[in-house]
Amino acid sequence: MKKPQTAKDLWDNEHEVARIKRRRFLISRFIAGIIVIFLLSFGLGAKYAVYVGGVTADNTNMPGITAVSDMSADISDGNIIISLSGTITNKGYYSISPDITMRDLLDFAGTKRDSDVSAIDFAHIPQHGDMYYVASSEDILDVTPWLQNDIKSANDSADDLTGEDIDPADLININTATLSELMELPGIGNVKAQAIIDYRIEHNGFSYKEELLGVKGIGDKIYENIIQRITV
Amino acid sequence: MRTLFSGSPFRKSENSVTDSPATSNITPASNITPTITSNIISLVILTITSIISDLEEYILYAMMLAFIIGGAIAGVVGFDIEMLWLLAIICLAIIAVSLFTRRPALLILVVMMLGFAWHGITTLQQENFGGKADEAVFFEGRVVEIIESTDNYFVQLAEQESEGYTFVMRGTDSNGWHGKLMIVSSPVKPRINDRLSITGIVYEFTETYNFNLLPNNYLRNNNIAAVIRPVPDGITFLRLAGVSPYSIAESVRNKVFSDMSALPEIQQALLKGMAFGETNMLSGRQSTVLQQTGIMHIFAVSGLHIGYIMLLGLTVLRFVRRTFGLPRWTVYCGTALLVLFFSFVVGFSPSVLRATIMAVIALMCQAISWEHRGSLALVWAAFVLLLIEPLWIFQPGFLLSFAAAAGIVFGTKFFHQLIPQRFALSRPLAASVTAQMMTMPILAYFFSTVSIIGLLLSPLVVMMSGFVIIFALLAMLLSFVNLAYIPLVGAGLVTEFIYNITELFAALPNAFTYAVRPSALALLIYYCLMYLAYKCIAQADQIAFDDEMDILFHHKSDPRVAEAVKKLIAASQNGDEFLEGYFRDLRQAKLNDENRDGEEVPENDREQDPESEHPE
Repeated sequence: MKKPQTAKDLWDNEHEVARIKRRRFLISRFIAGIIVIFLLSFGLGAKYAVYVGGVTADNTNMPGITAVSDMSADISDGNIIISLSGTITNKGYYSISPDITMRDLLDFAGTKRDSDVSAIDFAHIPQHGDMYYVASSEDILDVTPWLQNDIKSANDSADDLTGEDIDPADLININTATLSELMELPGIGNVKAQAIIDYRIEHNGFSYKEELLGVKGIGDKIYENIIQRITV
Repeated sequence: MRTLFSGSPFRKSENSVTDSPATSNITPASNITPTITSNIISLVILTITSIISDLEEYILYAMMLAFIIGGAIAGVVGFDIEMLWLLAIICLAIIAVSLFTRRPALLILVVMMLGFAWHGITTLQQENFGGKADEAVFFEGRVVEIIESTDNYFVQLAEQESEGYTFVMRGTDSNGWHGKLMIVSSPVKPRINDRLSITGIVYEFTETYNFNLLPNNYLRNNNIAAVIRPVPDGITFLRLAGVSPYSIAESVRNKVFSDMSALPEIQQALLKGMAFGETNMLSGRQSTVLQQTGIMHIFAVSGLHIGYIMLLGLTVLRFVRRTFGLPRWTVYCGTALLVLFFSFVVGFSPSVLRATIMAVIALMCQAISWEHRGSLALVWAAFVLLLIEPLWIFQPGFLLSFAAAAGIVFGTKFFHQLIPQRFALSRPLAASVTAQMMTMPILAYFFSTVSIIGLLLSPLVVMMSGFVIIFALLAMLLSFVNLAYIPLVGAGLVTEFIYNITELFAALPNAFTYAVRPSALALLIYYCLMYLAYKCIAQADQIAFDDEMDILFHHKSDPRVAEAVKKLIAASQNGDEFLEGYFRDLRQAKLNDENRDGEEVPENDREQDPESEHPE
């Protein structure tokens, strides 16, 4: 800004100063305002997420389903107690009347966006002591061999849960199998079979089938293919 | 914004209209046909423009205030989750409009809507709790508050049926709901920050004995969704709390209480109330006397206590600083730590939290030599509190605390002008009167009592309570070396003396009166009248001038500074250099003044902060 020489210069300078000041004033106010709004919106988003996480399902007041404290709670005659857990909204122990169907139970449970209900057996009749677990479709490590559906009854034996009939004698014990036996498994070649044996020696054998995932070269895909055919 | 706080709106408005280019299209009043209507319209436009330019000046504080107002609106009109998307669209539209029209003031509307949604979602989250009465709940979380005072209605109710401890937990239930629950009749007493898992039955309340409060009002205002009673063996400790400021504060508290037990019973009861805000030892007669004389606010820890702690801290630390030649900031940081220590020991109720935030802001501003204003700190404190607990906005404790503080911050100055200044007690008297005037309608609304003698008695008691509070702080500090008993004896004597005086006053005729619950409109009119009275006196008074000079020296961006800049540029060929020198000299002069005065007490007003507050 040059030094004012004439009255006109002085006039122009004054206006220039006022304009720049006004501009700076506005910019600083906008920046402050937008920052505050951004932070508040962020906090509001977090609050909304917490709210959505606990939204009660519409059918909470379904007749015939009452919350109880545990499996041994006092209930009226004819009712049974079941437990709901997993990726659902209404977890807990519930006393239900005998006419409650699997479908009612699922409606009551209140599924979430990522609840995996793709293969639920709607014909299943709940029994006293049943513990139902709904898996999440986003569980990458969900390796438990559930039944053909994802709601599992604890009273059923594990064999019923596997879709195919495999004779237990045909299962390959990964703790005792030889290199050639391991190579019979789908997707397991010489290298991977040797890796399993190395892992077995290093870690004093396998306690759980899931430990296979720790073996180098065995991913989710291979694991899913062989899970039905191995034992520990 | 400034019109809301201080100074004269009209004097400013003339300047802002002529100065700001964005508002220059407003036709001045003189150009319109001089009819009454047009004059009124131009006055309204002038006022609105001045308010908008004021809002832009203090946009951050205006936003905070808007956030608070938005929350209050949500509390009154209600909120639905479907509104959220509509609000989002409206907010985006307003932001766009404000950017195009270059009006930052419009952003304040956006913040108001965010405040609306903030309060609304918190309410919905609370109502969303799925447990019905007599149903089982599985809850896991952290203990956030332990309720020990037995005048709490819920504690009394639970005790009718069985002995036990009461506390508040924040956590998640088995349905994925997240929030706060109150646990009553617990067989074990946890500590703050313990992690527990609870299996319990939802308690059903059919009626409340507090005739003036709505059923479950206490729970709602404290964001507690339900009260549950644990089933036998229903409490499992998941993780114990480690050493934290809370655990240290609790041990200090317990030590002081055990040392207190040697005092006579009446002194114990009064001292516990005055120093720690615990009124459960007071007899019915004592509480009645204190309520009728309107000094019950001394028995709830508030800004008054924090003010005295600051006074003590500053005095002692200044002496230490002079003796050892320490840097200046040590005084303020040390006092802030002392205030925090006291707050932790007495517990964070809304009023303690408010006073602590304001005190820490004031001290930090002093430490880094920033300009500090009580009014702005008040807005900060309210904003922070409502950000944490939006539902506090309708809690009597919160309202009383902020009303009293607002009265002291805005009102004391001009009330002080009205009474003879030579009178030694004029300042505390002014502070007390304004605080009482601000809190009177709220007291009438929630507690139906209006104390007349309180106006007179309060300043006296407030000054004497200073001894008690300072002695109590000394006791807390000396409890580390097991010498807490010494100051407690002195404090006990003073409390008994205060109570005896109070009893004398309570015996006077017409000491208090019962009031009917005022309607919301009556409250609004009352506060509008208070505001108008303040405006009239402030305008006619020296305050307005002081305030303007204050702004001139501290805010270069003010339009009036721009005006001054223009004049100075025109007057001097040296332009900016002259101006720089001018402001430099001013700042230097101010610094010299400060150093000569030996650093004034930052917020004199708060030493006599008689906040009326009733325990719930």
